[in-house]
Amino acid sequence: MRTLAIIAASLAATASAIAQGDLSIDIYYGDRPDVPKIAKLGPDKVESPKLAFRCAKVIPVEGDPIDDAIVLSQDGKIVAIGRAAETAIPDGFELVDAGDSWCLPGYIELHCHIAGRGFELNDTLHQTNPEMRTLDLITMDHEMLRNALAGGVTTVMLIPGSGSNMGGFGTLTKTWGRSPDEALVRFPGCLKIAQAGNPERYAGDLGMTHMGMNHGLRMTLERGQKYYQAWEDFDAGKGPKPQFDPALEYLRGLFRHEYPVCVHTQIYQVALQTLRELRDEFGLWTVIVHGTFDAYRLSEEAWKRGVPVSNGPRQFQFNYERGRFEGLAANWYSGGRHGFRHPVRGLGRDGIGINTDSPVIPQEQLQLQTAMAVRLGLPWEVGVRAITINAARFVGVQDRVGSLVVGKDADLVFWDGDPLDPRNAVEMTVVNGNIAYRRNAERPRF
Amino acid sequence: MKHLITTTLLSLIAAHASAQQERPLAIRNARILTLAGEPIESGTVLIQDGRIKAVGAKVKIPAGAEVVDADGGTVMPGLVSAWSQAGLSGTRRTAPADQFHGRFRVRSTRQSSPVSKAGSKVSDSLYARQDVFGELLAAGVTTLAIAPMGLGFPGQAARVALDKETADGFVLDDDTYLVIGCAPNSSVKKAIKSALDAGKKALDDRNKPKEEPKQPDKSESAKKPTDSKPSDESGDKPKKGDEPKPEPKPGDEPKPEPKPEPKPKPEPGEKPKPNGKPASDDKKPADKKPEKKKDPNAEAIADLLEGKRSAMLVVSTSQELAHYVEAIDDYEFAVTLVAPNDNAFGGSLWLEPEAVSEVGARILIEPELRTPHYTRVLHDPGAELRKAGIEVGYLVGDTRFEVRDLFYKLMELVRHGADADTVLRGVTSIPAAMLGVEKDVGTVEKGKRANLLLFSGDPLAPTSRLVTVFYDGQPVGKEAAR
Amino acid sequence: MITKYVLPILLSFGSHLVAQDEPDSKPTSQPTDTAEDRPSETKDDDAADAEEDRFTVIRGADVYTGTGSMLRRASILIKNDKIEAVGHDLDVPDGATEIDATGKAVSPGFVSVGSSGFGAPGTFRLEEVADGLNPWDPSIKLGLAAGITSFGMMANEGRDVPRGKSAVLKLAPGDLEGMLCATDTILSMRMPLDRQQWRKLRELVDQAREHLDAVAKFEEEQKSSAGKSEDKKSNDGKDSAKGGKKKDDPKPPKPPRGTEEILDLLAGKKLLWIDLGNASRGWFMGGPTNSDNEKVRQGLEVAELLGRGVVFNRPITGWVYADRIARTGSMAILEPRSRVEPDEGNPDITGSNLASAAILADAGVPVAVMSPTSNLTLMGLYGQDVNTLHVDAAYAVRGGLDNRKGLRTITLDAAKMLGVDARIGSIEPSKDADLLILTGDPLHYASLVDTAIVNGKVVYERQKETFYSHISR
Repeated sequence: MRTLAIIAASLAATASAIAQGDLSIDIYYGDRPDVPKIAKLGPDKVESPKLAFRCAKVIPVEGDPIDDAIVLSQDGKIVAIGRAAETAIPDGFELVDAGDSWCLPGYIELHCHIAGRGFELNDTLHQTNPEMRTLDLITMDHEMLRNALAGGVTTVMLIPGSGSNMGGFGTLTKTWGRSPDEALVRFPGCLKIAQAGNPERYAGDLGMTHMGMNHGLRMTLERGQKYYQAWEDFDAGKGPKPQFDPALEYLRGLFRHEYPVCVHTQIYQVALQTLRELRDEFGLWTVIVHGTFDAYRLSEEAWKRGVPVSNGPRQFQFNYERGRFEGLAANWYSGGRHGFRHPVRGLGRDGIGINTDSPVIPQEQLQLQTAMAVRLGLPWEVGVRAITINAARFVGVQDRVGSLVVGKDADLVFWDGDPLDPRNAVEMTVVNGNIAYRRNAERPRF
Repeated sequence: MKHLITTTLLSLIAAHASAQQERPLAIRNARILTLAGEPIESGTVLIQDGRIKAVGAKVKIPAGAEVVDADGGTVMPGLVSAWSQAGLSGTRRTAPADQFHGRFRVRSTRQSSPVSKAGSKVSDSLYARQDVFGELLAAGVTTLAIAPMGLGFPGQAARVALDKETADGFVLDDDTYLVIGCAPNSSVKKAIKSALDAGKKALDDRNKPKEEPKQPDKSESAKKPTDSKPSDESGDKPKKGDEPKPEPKPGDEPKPEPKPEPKPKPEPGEKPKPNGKPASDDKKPADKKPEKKKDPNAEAIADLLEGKRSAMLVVSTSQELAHYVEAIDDYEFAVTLVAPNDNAFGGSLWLEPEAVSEVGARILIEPELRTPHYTRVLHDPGAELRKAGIEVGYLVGDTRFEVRDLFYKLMELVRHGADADTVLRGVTSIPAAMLGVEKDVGTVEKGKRANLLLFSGDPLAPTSRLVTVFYDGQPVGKEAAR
Repeated sequence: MITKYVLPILLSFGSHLVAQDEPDSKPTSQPTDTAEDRPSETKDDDAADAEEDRFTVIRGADVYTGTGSMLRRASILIKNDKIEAVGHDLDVPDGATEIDATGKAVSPGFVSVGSSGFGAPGTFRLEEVADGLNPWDPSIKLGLAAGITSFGMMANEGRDVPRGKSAVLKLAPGDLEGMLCATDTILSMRMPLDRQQWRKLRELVDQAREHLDAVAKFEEEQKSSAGKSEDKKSNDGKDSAKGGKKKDDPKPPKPPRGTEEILDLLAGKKLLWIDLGNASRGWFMGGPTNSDNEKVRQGLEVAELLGRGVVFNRPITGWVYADRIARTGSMAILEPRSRVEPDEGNPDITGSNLASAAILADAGVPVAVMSPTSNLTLMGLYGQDVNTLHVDAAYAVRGGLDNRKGLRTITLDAAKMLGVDARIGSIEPSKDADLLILTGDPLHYASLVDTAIVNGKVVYERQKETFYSHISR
């Protein structure tokens, strides 16, 4: 009961903060174009029945919670949302009674490898592999995607593994769809760069220390940057038409800031390299994923640069000097002294995300990851935001997913109760207005 | 022929030496840390015949005395190393005990099988002319007790002279204390218990009315091999049995050898050690004949139980101590503890001073600040133990490098808040008391052996230099370092 | 020293197994039986050292007893190392130590059915477990911070015949004696068996039964021949060899070689764990992958052969056989969140089921849960090891277990798997005072242990230790 009160209070606070446009971090998107040239976006409209979902509580994440609420969806989008008493169900809408459940936006996973099986995402043709992409691997008939639905995860960033410094381009997709095209949110979802903590294993003599790896990355990025610049010049009528290079084409989009680079980076030193090389030097729209070990000490540096952090799967660092469990997400969020003389600023409510790195931690346990972050000090309300609206903002798809707002995708998850409590299961998951999963009480998937 | 020459030569040296002996030596203009009271800010130590004849601010220097001007330097007693493996093969420690400083780490427990040879003597495996003794002496160690290593009852420690070229006079005392080693496993605990049981039995036999010495003889000798299983080890040590070895000490002087003369051993005078010797003394000459074959291992432990012999218990952690307490069951005897491997994983003893004081009133530890596990807060283990009324001595080190470090470590303890006199007593008078030689060494007082260290300044100041080591009144030259 | 502790356990243990035969009616009443067994003992204590009794009272907490329902704002009185009383209006002796737990929750200490660390000796030295304990192991405090107050460990597990050494240890910092809860309450064997192994097992059980018959006969004869003159039916040669003395020491028949363990099982002195090869596969890349129907069925046959319940260690398809498991009086240890996909090619019902715990519990089977990683690591991923054992209970609840039974999967029922439920696992008078004071509902993901009490002593306080004191709750 007490938990509920806290949740309600913090949600109300959030809603008013959002209304004032008061975001805790000004995410750096570069000169992101309104309409992408390189990236391919998912469909505007998705076929879906006209449904009216009724449940005990809606937590829209952006906006106040609504008790005894109705959410109307049509063509894959939310068309209305409100109190049941005040929301008429138009003709043609079928009522879906979700009973006592709580409705939340589908969770968003920014770091997973569940598109493939085993290590097929870890191809290492070169030290850096800008020519590779996960798009071709996506199949909607995948056990782990079904588990994702059972865990309330409706949007995932499927990225290549960290076997090389630049694994290739990830795909941002829904976890359900009649076809990969229908499920697509954006391709490329991001570029995957791994700066340390894995690529060393495969790098051979191409440079397996930080110096060598950073050099390799820089070489490739510089090539991409030149290629991008040549096209920009051409488009501005200031140069000849460059020769199309499929290996660099997506880097061009990266430099156009159509999508971010998601950097597998962890440890203070390495994360600092990320900020300096990728964000400062190349001006890339940068998202830190993992961000584990003691990287949280950079919270202020990341905040200054508008670089958000999706933390996981490691949710704690045992601090041997102080003998304590450091909650990593909590530390990124709140900042603190962290061994410095002066406290550093945290990323705040809008700068922290949480991921599983599935299948390292099974995709369905994104909820648990967040619960553990909360156990270690992250406020509950921030925990919910971390895997919904925050994640959506980090990769620039907040106009489609991440909160329950009219006009956004109808990605609805109906929970038994507190959506962070592992005791509570998902009763129903709706993706793009389609009921994608219903829990079988006899034999629950999760 | 050759023998004759050697003898002559030696006697010449001896003559020279004894001539020197008579000439007193005065160290004047020194700050004297007597460690027996307040320091003397400017005073004189007068030495004669290897002993301190006088010490004070106004000591009169006799005419003809050799005078050493300390030039305002500091004199303190020589270091007493009460538990050392110097000169033994093998090493005491593998790695610094807790190099992770408070981090969680799994330590490989000392795994070795227990032994039960309380009667054996480490002196049997020592020889005099090892570089390490000279090095230690030059570094300031003037009293050295060498202890056998092992679990269970590995034997008896010996106190040795540091300046000997030959076996003569090298072993000052071959049964300084018994060593007990305990580890958390059944075989060790059982070995300790059964050794104590055997000792108890021997003690009971001793206390039996000794009317008919013959008959019990047989039955006992018949029993021995069976009921003293742990003494298997002693089987290959029948030499132990031939009593002469332990005896020589009392009969040392009358020995026909010409050598002992030069330096009248400082040793003979004192006999404060609580050893079994006196008791056996009057017996042995009487019985003489090899009579019943007593198990020397059990006898040694019987001495311990009777309070005639002291023991040092090597346990570095609360875990080991707790298992030791369980192993000895209801037996009661005092021990001095030695904790050479403080280790957070097994529980630092200094965090459990009550448990320590229940087992012994004295402990030898490493002179280091430590952190409890999972923190970086430095503590002074000695201070924690002293709070519980325990006398704390410090391990001095087994090599000259370690001994050199000792002063830096002590300095750090003082910086952390320890009293300088207290920590210095921890390497002098306290370990001397542990060895039962506190009347002879450990302070700068009249009548004590003139084992002194002369520093250019305060011994705990980083700028001070150890100028001269006086060993039995003799300045130890560089050559002593060999 | 070992016997001192083990004996009472074994005694109470026997009675527990009897109770187990009727799983429907008895389980909850069983601890009360024990309580009735004990009062005399307790009184002796009273007489002996009434002066030194140490009382502690915890007040104002919501008490999750582990058996009945939660008691709101109740008190718990602890006398020395035992729970003396639980309720609302307790007679608290003067001088009792007061612990104010208003607004907090109290739960029985969590029991990990199988871990290492926490001061336990390495498994290879388990035979001398009492002599290898390290109550100063720093990980003990970590375990207490996680709410674990006891754990089981095994070594030399059996393969085709019941074997093994086991111990149940408590996380009692600095208390060598207090650490040892029980030894040798468990044997284990691994499924599946091939035909030859089955034959061997059956033979052993037959031999053991014959032996028991012989013993029974012998005892009967002893009884009937008491007072009478010698009985010529005495079957062993020793009797006749000794001629006239026979009456004083006729020897009972000796158990045939290799049947000792079977006899222990038949007598209910020990529990048999059925190892299905699924334990501790770990969290990485998915845990166990294959269904184990055949192995579970074989385990059931073992139970039926022995006429005794067994403990299934992490069955994947145990839920398929819930009724049969219940019928044999068997129990199950589960890893609720480990997923195994159904095997479409297998005619059996296959795959794991998050509802396993609920299905089994509904059938009357005691269920304990374990984390994917059975030890507590400081290097790993939070929420995947016994550092958060309550999360695994939470997943059992997600699968349909109610909260009360959910708590039992890491307390009383876990203690049952280890054969020590007469001593630990619930908050009831006469049981060991191993308790947690938590910031909230013991199964809530964010609840932290504020105070841990083991053997009646406060052994962990969150605000005084470093691990979680910086987290406000």
